[in-house]
Amino acid sequence: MRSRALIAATLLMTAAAAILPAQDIEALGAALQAGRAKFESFDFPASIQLLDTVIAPLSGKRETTVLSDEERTLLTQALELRGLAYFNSADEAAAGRDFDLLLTINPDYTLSPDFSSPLIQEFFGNTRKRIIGAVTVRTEPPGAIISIAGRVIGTSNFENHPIREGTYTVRAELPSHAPAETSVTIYPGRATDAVLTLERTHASLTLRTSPADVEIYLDGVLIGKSEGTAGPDYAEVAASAGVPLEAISGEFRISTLELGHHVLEFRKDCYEYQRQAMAEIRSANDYNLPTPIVLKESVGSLTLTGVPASARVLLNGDERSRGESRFDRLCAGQYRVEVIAAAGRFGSTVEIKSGDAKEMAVTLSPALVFLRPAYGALMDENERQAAGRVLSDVFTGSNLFESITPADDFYDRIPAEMRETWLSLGTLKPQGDFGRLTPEQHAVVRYLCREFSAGTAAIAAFHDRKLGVRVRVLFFSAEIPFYETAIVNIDEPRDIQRFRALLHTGIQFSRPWLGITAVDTRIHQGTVVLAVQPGSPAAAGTLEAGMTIAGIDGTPVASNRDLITGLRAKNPGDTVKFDIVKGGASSAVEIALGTSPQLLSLDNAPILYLPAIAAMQLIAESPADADRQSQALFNIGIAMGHFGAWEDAIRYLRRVQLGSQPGINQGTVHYFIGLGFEVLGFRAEAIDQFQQALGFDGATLDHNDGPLLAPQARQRLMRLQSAP
Amino acid sequence: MLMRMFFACVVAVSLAAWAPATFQDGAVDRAKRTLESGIQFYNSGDYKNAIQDFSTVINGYASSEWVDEAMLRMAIYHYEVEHDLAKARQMLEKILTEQAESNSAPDAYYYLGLFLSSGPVSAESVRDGLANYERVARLFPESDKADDALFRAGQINVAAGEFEPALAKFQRLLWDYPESNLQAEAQFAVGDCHYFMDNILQAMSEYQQVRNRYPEAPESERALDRLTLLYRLHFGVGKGRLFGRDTSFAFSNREALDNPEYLASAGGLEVFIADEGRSLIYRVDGTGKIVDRASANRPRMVKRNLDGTPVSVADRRFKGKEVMGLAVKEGTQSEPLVDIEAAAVSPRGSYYVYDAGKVNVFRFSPDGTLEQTIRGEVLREVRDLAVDSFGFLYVLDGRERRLVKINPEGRRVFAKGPTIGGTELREPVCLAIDEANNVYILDRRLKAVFILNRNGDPLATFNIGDTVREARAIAVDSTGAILVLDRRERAVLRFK
Repeated sequence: MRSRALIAATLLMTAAAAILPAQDIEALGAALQAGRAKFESFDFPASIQLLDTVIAPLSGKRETTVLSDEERTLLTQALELRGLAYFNSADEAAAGRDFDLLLTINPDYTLSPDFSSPLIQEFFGNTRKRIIGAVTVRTEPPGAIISIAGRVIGTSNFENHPIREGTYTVRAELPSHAPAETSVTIYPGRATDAVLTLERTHASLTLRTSPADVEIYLDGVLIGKSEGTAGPDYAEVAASAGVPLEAISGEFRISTLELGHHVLEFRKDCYEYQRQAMAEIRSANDYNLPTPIVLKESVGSLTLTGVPASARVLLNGDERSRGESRFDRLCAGQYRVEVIAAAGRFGSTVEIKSGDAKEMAVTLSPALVFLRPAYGALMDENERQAAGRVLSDVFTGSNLFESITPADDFYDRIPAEMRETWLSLGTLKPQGDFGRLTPEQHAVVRYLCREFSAGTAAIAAFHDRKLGVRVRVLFFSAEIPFYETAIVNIDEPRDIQRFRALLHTGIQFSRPWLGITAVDTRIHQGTVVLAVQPGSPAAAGTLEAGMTIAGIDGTPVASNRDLITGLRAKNPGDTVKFDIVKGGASSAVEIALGTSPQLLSLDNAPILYLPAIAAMQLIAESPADADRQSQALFNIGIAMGHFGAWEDAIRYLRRVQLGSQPGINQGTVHYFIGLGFEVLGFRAEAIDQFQQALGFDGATLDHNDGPLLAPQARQRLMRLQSAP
Repeated sequence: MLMRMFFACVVAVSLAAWAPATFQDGAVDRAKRTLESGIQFYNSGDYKNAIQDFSTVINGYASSEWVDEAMLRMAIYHYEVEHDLAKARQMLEKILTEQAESNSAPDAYYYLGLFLSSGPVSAESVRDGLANYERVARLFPESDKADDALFRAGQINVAAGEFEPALAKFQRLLWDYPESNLQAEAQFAVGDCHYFMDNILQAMSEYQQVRNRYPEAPESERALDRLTLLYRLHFGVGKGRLFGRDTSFAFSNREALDNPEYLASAGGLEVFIADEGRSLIYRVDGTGKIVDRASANRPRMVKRNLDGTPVSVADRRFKGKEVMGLAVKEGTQSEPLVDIEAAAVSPRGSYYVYDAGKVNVFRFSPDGTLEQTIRGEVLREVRDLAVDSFGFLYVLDGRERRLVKINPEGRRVFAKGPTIGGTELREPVCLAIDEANNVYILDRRLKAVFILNRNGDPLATFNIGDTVREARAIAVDSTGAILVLDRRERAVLRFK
């Protein structure tokens, strides 16, 4: 089988190498038809002339190579017609030459009865008798592929195969056997026998698999795939193997199994891999595995939690579901899990093993799509391209976003009616750090964010090259109609570094919390505790007012700044050792730091507020952690307040639910809502909120150890109440 | 000084703005060059040529874009050189009516605020000044003077005891002008506001923020002093010994001192010592070393002038660097003071003088003009006077053994004594006020210092003990440490 395929392939390759161009074949076919038409109209000279144009190139080619089937057919038909034309022109010699060649090419050829008279049939039959003999081939064992003069004739055994007189080599090939050859001489009108004995050199192995379609590897090389189903004759074996008959493949035969040791491997997706080392094969016999190779199914389950309802879930790049998902019969293997939501993305790789029931909590990262249109007449295209590359690099690898840089054709994806507005975005020049978008511009931003599944879009507007290439990077948000800017001089590495730091700054929702008010004095060596917040880690850790903190985890504390620096290096939950001085006596206490919410600054925090909103939006939508959700909502409100979008800010702040514990509490929320109402001019509502804020004792700003809000709330209240 | 600095700033900014301008011949350019010439004359002190140039721009190029700047310069000249507030104000108001849209409009409001609220001006004028500062911040928040105007407006509010609006202004400066070089001062002022509103803990947190956020600023050291002082008085009491002898300070100089009579803070950690016997006033640093001395005619008391120089009560006359001819003018007659027992300097530079002969306290302006007479039977035996940062006068009445607080309008706010904090004063002889406006009374007989807050509430009592043989006077430095003059030992001891 393999040999035949090999031979066929060789022939094909050879033919392919010399095949005539299609237009030549067509031309030859046309010439043949024209020759046939002349023949039918009894214009034999003209017919011969036309047929010459077909026969000459093809017969010439035949001298050097093997003709394709189509060429062969053309040539034989042309030879038949021309031979008939010569015969009808009383040139029997020429007719005999054509029929001779015709029978050499195809010893079985018979003339078409449409054109041939009994006289011509007799002439043709005489020609055949004069040059054609036959061969009868027998092999032991039979079934060998027989080729004569390099051309495959058939499978042994066969009798009386016509063949032109001459001496030929007959070759027999049979899997598991060494090829055999013999020489035969063919005489016209006689049959000659060719008998070949093939020596067995290889063993064979027959097996079945359950299920079918299993890839089978022999000594590491893929040799085929089991196919089909087992027949009823295998039912008994199937039953004894405990496998349903319909789950068993048909026979798979390995015909050329060399003597010695072999390893078989069986692979199929979602099934456990199997490897079998065979016992040594010492003799070239046919072997048969008595029972099927049964592969055990290998699947696990994967559950994804925290996926927003409309988010698309992709496994290895294929969209498989939406929202929270459970994949019960997931083939074992490695999967790239991607979740794409309106405002963010998640990507992770998971290895599923047989029997696994894995859960994966999806935490979306806000996606930022960096579009890099180049504006600015002062730069040429090369400079813009280079600048775009630098910025792409800066955007890549952010720990805040999954940055997406769209394909170059993204402009084509923008609807035509939006393109003009889109172009206007790059020319925005705010007075300060941010500005407001028109409704049309924000519609484009929302479209782009939706198109790229990103919460934030950034574009670069190249606008100046007086002192190096300065790029204004504009940030847009799907959430609110504002834009924010950052200028980066991309010729200045330090400036790029600064921008990178700005872009990659994460949002801190929480910070370690000790719960003391401490100050420096000229009296104390260290920082002296003035007050301890009830319920704070400091209170639980027995820190008291009047104690001096002189060290933190072995590092001396000379001032309050040292203490703050030391605490900032810690994480909530860390246990910290404080060196304490009280009444002249030194001691040490260990305190497990708590967690304090951390509020954004309304103004001038070293962050990008719009990307921060996108980041916090995802956390706010995640149902996993209520505290963190509240902190995110709170900070979204503050960030929106930063832009003056107080209507939206209040909408978010109203969703925040905090307790009444000292520090950041519900009073702080009321205070910020009051600020919003004050800015919006709703005096009564603002007064109400400030009054409510004052109802929460110990409410602070910024964080739990931040300044008390009461003085500021009172001040705002007084101002509002005294205003006309 | 501060004002000059601002003027210099204006010049620098203006010149910088002109630098890249393209030279154009014509009226506009001539106006510009004339203005530049005037500024150069002004800066070199050639005021005559300066105002000639400014006038040329104002009158000759009235429609040029430089006229508002020239008018501003002219206003500054009227105020700074001619000391003519009316003319300066008139010119600034002209800018605001005729050049309301010009770049100089915020400057005009700012200088109106500055001129109307600086120096010996009426309370009404200060209110006008405040209004103009507020206009800068409200109408021109993008102006480069907005932060300064806010700060100065806040200071005016503080001086008037209006702490809430002051706090709002300082907070706004912190929030809206993060690049302002007044950030540290504003943060300190936020602490002050909380302190004066009796939010002691919050105040201390704010002072600490000065140290944490602006460690390199001079205010950081001031904040440390203030924190030390407040800690001592509000958190140190009952937490152990309130004051202990500071052995790092040693001033015992029998050769230098003959008959030391008085001690006063000279600012920071320094003190003045008035030596009647040697007719000298010493300035002593924080370690006890004499760093300066000035002659005075048998000084019995010394106070610190606004510029940091000593002002002494000597030989029944009130004396500064030069003898001042202070006199009480009644009707058309001027009558000299006869028996000066005590004196004090107000934060505006005015002098309060107690004349035992006339049994009155007189307030004189810095140039010696009588501003106010405070009469009353409680003032018959005044031992000492002191003025806090808001201009409130504290009178130590030896006969009644009381402390009387009088507001700048001359009305009594309170009288405390003779019993303070459960202890009866015996012989109060000296007053001191610290930088947080707490009042310290030295009782010579009890050898104790009574400490009261500005409302007269007793905070603590410090018993000096036997380390001092005759406590004659006290001073309080910026950290709240108490310095005691031991007349018998001719020594000064420091307790912290």
